[in-house]
Amino acid sequence: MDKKNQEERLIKNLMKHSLTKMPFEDFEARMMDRIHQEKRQQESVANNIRYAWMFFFVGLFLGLGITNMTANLSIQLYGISLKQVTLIIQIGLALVLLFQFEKLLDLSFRKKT
Amino acid sequence: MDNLYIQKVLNGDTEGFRYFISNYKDLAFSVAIAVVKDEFWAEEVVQESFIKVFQKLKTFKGHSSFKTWFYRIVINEAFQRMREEKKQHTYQNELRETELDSVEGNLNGLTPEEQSVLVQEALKLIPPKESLVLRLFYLEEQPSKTIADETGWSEANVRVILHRGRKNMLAAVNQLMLKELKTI
Repeated sequence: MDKKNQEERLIKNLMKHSLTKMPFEDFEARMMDRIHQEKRQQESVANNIRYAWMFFFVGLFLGLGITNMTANLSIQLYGISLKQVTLIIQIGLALVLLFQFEKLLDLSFRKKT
Repeated sequence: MDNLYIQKVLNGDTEGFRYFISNYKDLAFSVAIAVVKDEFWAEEVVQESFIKVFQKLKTFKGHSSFKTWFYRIVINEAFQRMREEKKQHTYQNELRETELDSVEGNLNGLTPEEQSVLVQEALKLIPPKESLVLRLFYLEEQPSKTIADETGWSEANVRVILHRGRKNMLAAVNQLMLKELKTI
């Protein structure tokens, strides 16, 4: 028991000297620079996400408007009906929109967590 | 006080983060160097930890104290750094009984500065887990339950590491003093 006490006392005494101070004097200043930089980056990402959503909806409504406008046209281009051409374009654009929508959701969700 | 500054930072006062840096940098450095054993690596670990704290501050729910949460981040970061570097160290790992009277006698002959250098060197010789637990237990005066929370190890494991750490630390101090005596 005595040996255990002596060991404990000795270790306690030794460990008093184990505090290691940060040896780099400019650490605080450098760290704060990085924090400010991080904050700017966070704000810029948040802004970019806002713009991305805005342009996504602008594109979506423009697309809807153009689709609506071309729906009643019955023009033939080199023997192919314009309706067939627009249908192919519409399917392609719908796929792109879905892909972008999924990306935007992912980006916004990741930002929050 | 921590909670007040957490709110400040979350409300957009980035400069408020300085409070955490000036209050926790030394203790974080002590914890980091206990694991990585190198001043420059330890500084990088502390930097990355503060950045992580800043990024994740809004996820801090206050279930544990800020200090416990912060230490968990520093410890994870330090061990991750060790894994990334894949640096192989050979630590004094076998338990040896040390002649306590001789260690105590030799220590009394040293100035506080010399004792400090000796302790720092001895901590570099023992395995990271042991030096980390010794620092948290004796320097921070944390109970083994808190250390278990911070490290993710079981309380029984912490006690075993602490026991091994004490023995190895004394053996390392003894070894360093004998080496020093031989050179004189």
